[in-house]
Amino acid sequence: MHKLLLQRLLLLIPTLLLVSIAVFGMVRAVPGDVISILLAEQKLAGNEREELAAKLGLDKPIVIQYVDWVSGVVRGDLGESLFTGHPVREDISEKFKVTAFLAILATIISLVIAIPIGAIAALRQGSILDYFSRSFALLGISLPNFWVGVAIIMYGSLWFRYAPPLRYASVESDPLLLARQLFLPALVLGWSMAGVVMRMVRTALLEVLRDDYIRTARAKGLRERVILWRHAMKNAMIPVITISGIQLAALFGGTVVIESVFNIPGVGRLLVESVALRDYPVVQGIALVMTVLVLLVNLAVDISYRYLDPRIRLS
Amino acid sequence: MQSQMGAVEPLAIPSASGSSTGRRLRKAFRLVRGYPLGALGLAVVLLMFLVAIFAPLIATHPVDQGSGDAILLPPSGEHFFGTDEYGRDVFSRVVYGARVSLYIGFGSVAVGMVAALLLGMISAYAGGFVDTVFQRFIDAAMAFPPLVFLLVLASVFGSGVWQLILALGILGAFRNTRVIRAAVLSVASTQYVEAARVLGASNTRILLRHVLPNIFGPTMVVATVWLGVAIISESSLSYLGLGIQPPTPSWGRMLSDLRPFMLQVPAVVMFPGIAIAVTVFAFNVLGDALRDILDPRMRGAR
Repeated sequence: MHKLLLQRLLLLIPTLLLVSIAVFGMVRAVPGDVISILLAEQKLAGNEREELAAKLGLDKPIVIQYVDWVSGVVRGDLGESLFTGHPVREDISEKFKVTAFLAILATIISLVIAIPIGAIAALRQGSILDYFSRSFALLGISLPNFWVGVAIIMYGSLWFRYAPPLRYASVESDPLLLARQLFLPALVLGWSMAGVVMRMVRTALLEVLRDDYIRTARAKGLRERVILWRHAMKNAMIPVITISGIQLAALFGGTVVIESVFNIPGVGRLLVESVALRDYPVVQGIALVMTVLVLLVNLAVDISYRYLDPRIRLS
Repeated sequence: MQSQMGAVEPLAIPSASGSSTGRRLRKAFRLVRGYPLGALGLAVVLLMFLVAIFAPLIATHPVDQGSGDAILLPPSGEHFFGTDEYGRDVFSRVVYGARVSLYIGFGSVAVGMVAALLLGMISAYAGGFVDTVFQRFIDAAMAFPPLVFLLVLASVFGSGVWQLILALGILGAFRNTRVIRAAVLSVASTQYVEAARVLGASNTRILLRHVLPNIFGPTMVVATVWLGVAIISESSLSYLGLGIQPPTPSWGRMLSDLRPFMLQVPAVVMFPGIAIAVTVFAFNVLGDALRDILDPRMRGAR
């Protein structure tokens, strides 16, 4: 087990190197440069261009810039924002907490929606209830997130006097308030994820229910409810956990639209703003941290998979 | 479910007439009965195709010409879906929008699937070092935040229909290569592939004649699901200001542009959204039905 974990962690290194090159290169491929934007903002004369470039370290050859950045990253230093001069690490860690909170909340909601619907779809295949609930789950994937979000805000304000909070609570000071504030955006995200999870619940349950041990359980006279929840669900949940983990990881970078609809101070909004400003270190930092999170969650899912399924663990 | 089993056993009911048209009709009927949602999805997809092809005949007004005295009108006999903030007819724009959405959907799936098939087949079939390198590359590409990718690509190449197709296609290739690779690996270990090799078939021949036809199932499933993803992504990008630029009438763009008027003309704002929802929903249920039909493990389940 430990050997496997170590092996997988080592395999992350080349992946991360590739990602760091991609991030670094892609950000710089965006036309328009940060110095022009900075100069325009400060209304400075053009001859200060070189000075500014030197100050920000943008006059060095690109390879040197990359090496500088990577050697900083390895030491846990993501550089400083070209605009505010704040350390990127501090700036994004607070926002990542909010986004992670939202993503986890959305994943929980998606499971709450998807598991019962998936079970109905597997057990009552072909019934009206099956088609109705499956359609509900699939509708979630089919609606553009921002449209549902905007509709909730518009009609919520009209009918229920709902308005998105002006200030969101911080994760440390009042997580319960934050959870309440983030409930609606998380619901929108959770609903849109539920379709994929529901499919997996259904497929996994259908497969498990045909296994011999379920027949044995039936043969020894267990009640259907016990068979479903104690025997079938347990094993059917393994692939469901996998897909939920993958979706959770994808959500770290997928909350951008909903964050801007509900004005949530998460990392997605910062990302879009920073791309517009060509604030290279911030974009690089966010993209890199997002990628690392995805890789780590995937690894955790893989490992837990092995832990949960004795057939894989022992082989 | 019995009707479901019937769908894959065309010989279960002896054919009285023996005419192939009759048999096909009966088979189609069984398919509809066994997978009503999937059949509905197929019908909607076909309908959207017809709308897209015959858009000039269906549209009642010019697409990018509005009139100043018809701004933000609710739906009426003259304007079925009402008018937008420039006085343009929303019905006609939704009809033409079907073209753009289907272009983007099918275009990016075509690009993505060809690339995913190539990468997946090469990776699975070459094995060894090539496979390891490819897989690390795919690891990185899959973990890379897709939005950063799309944001950067849209900023670099601009946001026309073709650029978007290319961007979403590349993204789709990265995301789906692994499924294809897994499918190729499972086919490559079958006995008929081994038999073909023993008979002296070349790798190219094996890949094209034996592997490719047998991974058709998973490829189709991935493709239909990705079609929906592509259409939804276009609308999200529009919301962020990076989607298709005007005057091209795309559903996502229309939805995003009409957003401020949701309280003023709620009915008008619904229609582009409904168009997206219905189309993506149709692709999703169609994909689900295909998955059930093509996945042998699911055949006759329960």
